[in-house]
Parts: sequence; structure tokens; C-alpha cells
Amino acid sequence: MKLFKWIYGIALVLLIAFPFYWVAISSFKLPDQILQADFWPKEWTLQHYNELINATPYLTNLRNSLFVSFGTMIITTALVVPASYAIYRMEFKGRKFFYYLILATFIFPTMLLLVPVYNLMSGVNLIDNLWSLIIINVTFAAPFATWLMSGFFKSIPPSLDESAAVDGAGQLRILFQIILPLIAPGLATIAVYSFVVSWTEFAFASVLISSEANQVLTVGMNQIMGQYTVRWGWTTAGGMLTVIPVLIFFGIVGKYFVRGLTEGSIK
Amino acid sequence: MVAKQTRVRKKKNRIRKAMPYLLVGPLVIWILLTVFLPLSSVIRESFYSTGFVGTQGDFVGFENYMNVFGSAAYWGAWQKSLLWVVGNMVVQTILAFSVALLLNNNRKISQMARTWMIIPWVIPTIVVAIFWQWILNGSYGVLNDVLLSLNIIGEPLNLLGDSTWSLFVIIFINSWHWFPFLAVILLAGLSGIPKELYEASAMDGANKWQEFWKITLPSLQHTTFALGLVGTLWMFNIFDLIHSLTEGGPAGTTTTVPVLIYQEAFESYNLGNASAMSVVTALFLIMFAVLFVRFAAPKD
Repeated sequence: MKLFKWIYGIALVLLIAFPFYWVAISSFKLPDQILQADFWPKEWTLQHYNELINATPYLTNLRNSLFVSFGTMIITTALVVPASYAIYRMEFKGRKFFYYLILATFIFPTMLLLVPVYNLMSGVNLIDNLWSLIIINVTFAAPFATWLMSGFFKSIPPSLDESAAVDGAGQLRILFQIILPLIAPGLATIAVYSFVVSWTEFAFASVLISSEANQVLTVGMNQIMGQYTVRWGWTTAGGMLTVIPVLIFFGIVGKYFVRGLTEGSIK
Repeated sequence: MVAKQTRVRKKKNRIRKAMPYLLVGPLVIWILLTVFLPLSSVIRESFYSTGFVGTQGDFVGFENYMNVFGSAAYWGAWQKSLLWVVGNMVVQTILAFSVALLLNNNRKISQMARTWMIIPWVIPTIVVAIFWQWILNGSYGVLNDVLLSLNIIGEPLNLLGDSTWSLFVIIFINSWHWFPFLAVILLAGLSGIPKELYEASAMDGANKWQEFWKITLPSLQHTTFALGLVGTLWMFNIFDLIHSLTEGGPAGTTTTVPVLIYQEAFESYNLGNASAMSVVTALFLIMFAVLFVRFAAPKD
């Protein structure tokens, strides 16, 4: 049993890690050796990375992606925290209705919204504007983020805001000074979640953005893959350069994110 | 003086009453504008003969709906979508459950693995597509190379271009992308099960297998219910991975419903039909959600 566990564990690690290893190793191979299945490069080169940064709009794409992802992250958090505070910790008419309205967004295939959101954005002149992506990414991140917050709010005893209210603290002051510090892990979790949703989004980014100057990374990568199917050097290097920012980000906040995901979803 | 005080108190009271709405309002308005307003326009378009996105067609009544209901492509896409959802659920459930059970302990290596195993989920789908296309490539993919040199196969396989295998291969790739996320949520559920339950059943002489079915699974019912509902809808809606790996091919064998709707709207330029498809699809999904909540919701 124990041996089986170890074998299974190692197989899983290989399953998860091998694609990363293989793409990383390939991106350092010389162009004439990249198609050979060597598990270690005969010679190392940074040529593909050099070309990618100088000959493709990678850096512009990266900047756009960062802008959209951080924008989505800030707005999602700013909208979801007050809303979930009201939903999970206040009594008012229509509470249940608003709750289901927000969660109902889950049901509709994002594909359904592609055309009408395109029309909506062109109606308000936001086609080929990064803000259109921020707006729609917030919509996709918010329902699950709201759902995640429930665990965090429920873990704070209700007597806390009651005693604060007796003290005469205003409702907003209760939220900002007493509740907010207590749900900080939840805040971090939904922030990372919305960042990831935005960083990985592709369908809307490919339809709502038309000019190369405003493209995000996912769309840029798709084009490099489509235009240069033979240029696996660029494709693998581009793949790595898209993964590395997330890895750095995750190296810093990953522990809190997973812990938050765990705490948020059980209560 | 007294009158002024009561006025101030009244005003305070009004703010207090309005506060929940002020807090929840921005998000609700945001969602109404970006989800429900567009949805109403889908319903409208489904009665018009609009072709190109951005043009305006004529009112045609239920013609688009007749087209959709009579369309072999649409029902064929549903068949693939069902296979897609079920396949994903099966593969991911097995992978996620086994990983969660494997890591459900306090060893340092398990704690670390919990954080880093989620990486496949945080990378963009398009990069997932690149990873696996590079590995599975029919002419020079490393998988073929290894299988050939081990004499397991006689000639290279082109798995993604094979009409029998492509859907299953994409199901596998998508599961690779998603199962870590499921595993983390399951781990959360597992850590909430009281240890005493297991101790009691061990005293009764239950083996690991019985333990899993009698204690673990029932204790997780809230988690599995939520994942069953949200996960099914998430999986159904996946579009970008399929689009970037096969564009629905070869010969339409990976054209699930979202892929078909995309093609209808942006490649066949038939927005009216695409909208009618969307409406019909949404109705089916709502039906699923309602039935799922009614029959699968945890009893307590």
C-alpha cells in the first residue's frame, strides 16, 4: 500500500511537471535541434527568447495583460467585499434575491455573451479598449468570488459587529475597521482568483480587441502559434514567458491563496 | 433644537436602512448591465435574420428556432458536449479524489504539494494547448518518439488529428488543466471531517474502501454537490481549449455546443441562428441546474 502510494505520487508529479519541463527545455534548444527529442539540450541558447522579445509584440502584450489583470483584481475586490458583507452579515429585504442573481451568472455559458457583449461594448465605444476586458473579466470573477467570501464572513462571530454597533460605530466603520482585517485572507484569495481569471481569459480578449497595440498575452500567444506553426522555438519560449510571471506571482501569494481557498470553501 | 435632533436621527436611520442596498448595489448593477442586458439582446436577436455581427436583419419570428431544432449539427454538438462533460467529470473526479486523499495529511511534502500542484490551473488555456500540442505532435512530438523507441507503436500517432481519439485527448488535456483546482477544494472538504469518525469505524473493523464509501463520501456531500453543479456548468462552457487545439475538427468530431455557437456567429456569420442556439442552450442549462438542485442537494 505504501509503495503503491509512492509510485502513484511520483506518477502524478511527472504528469503535472513533465509538460513544464519539456517546454522549458525545448525553448533553450538550437533551432536545428528543437525537433529532436533530446531530454537535455546538446547546446543551450537564448536565441528564441531574444527573437521573441525583439520581433514580436510580447512586451506590449505583457504590459496589457498586467494592466487588465490588476484592474480586474482591484475592481472585483472592491465590488465583491461590500456586496458579500451585505449579503452574509446584514438582514434586508431582497437579500436572497440579490444573492441568487449574482450566482445565476454561473449558469449562462460565457459563449452566449460573446456577441451581445461585443455589441454592448461597441455601443459604448469600448471596442479595442482594454477597459472592455476589465469590465467583462470582473463579471466572470465576481460570482465565484462572492461564493468564496461566504466562508470567511461566516467564521466571524455575529456578536462582534453587534457589540461594535452598540458602541455607536457606523456600519461602514464596522466593515472597514473591524471586519476587513479579519477577512484579509479571504480578500487575498479573491484577489488572486480574479487575477488568474483575467490572466487566462482568451475568448473575449480575441473578439473585443482588434489592434495589435492592445492585444493581451493569451491572444498574442495564439497568433504566434498560428502564424509560425513551424517556429516551435518561439512558441515554447513564448509559453515559458507567459507562465513565468504567473509562477513569480504565485510563488509570493500561492500559499495564502490555497489556504484561503481551503478556508473559504468549507464553512 | 429637538426638532433638529430628530431630523438628524431620522436621516441616520434612513442611511442605516439604505446601507445594505448601497453595499450590494454596485455589484448587482454591474452584473445586470454585463450579463442580463446582453442576454436580453440575445433573445431579441434570436428573432431576427441578422448575419454579420453589428448589422441588423429583419424580423423572422421563430424561423431561427425552427432552423436550430431541425439542425443535425446542433444536436450532434450536444452529443459531443454530453460526452465532453461526462468524460471530464469522470477523469477529474478520479484524479482529484486520489490526489486529495494522498495529500490529506500534515506531512511537510503534502503541504508544499498542495500549493504547487495548482499551477496547471493558473496558466492560460492557450499555453496548456501549446504544451500538449508540442508533446503530442504527430510528426515530432516527444510522446511519439518515446513510444516508437520502446517499440510500443510502429508508426507515429497524430492523436489530435484523429477523429476517433481527438475528443478524448482534449478531455485528458482539459482534465490536466482543471483537476488540481478540484483537488484543492476536495482537500478543504476532507480537512473538515472529524477524526473521531474514522477512529470509530476503525474500531468497527472497517477497511479503507468501506471507510471511503461510508464516511468520506457522505461527509463531503456539500462539497461534491457544489462541485457537481458549478463544475458541470464550467466544463460545459469551455471553449478556448477546444478552439485552439482542433477548432472543432477533425470533421466536426470536437465541435461541442459552445464551439458551434462561436462558429455560427463568427465564421458562418449567422448571428440570428447563433442567438437562437444560445437561447435554447441556456434553457437546457437552467433546466439542468434546477433539476440538479432539486434532486442532488444535500438533505440536511
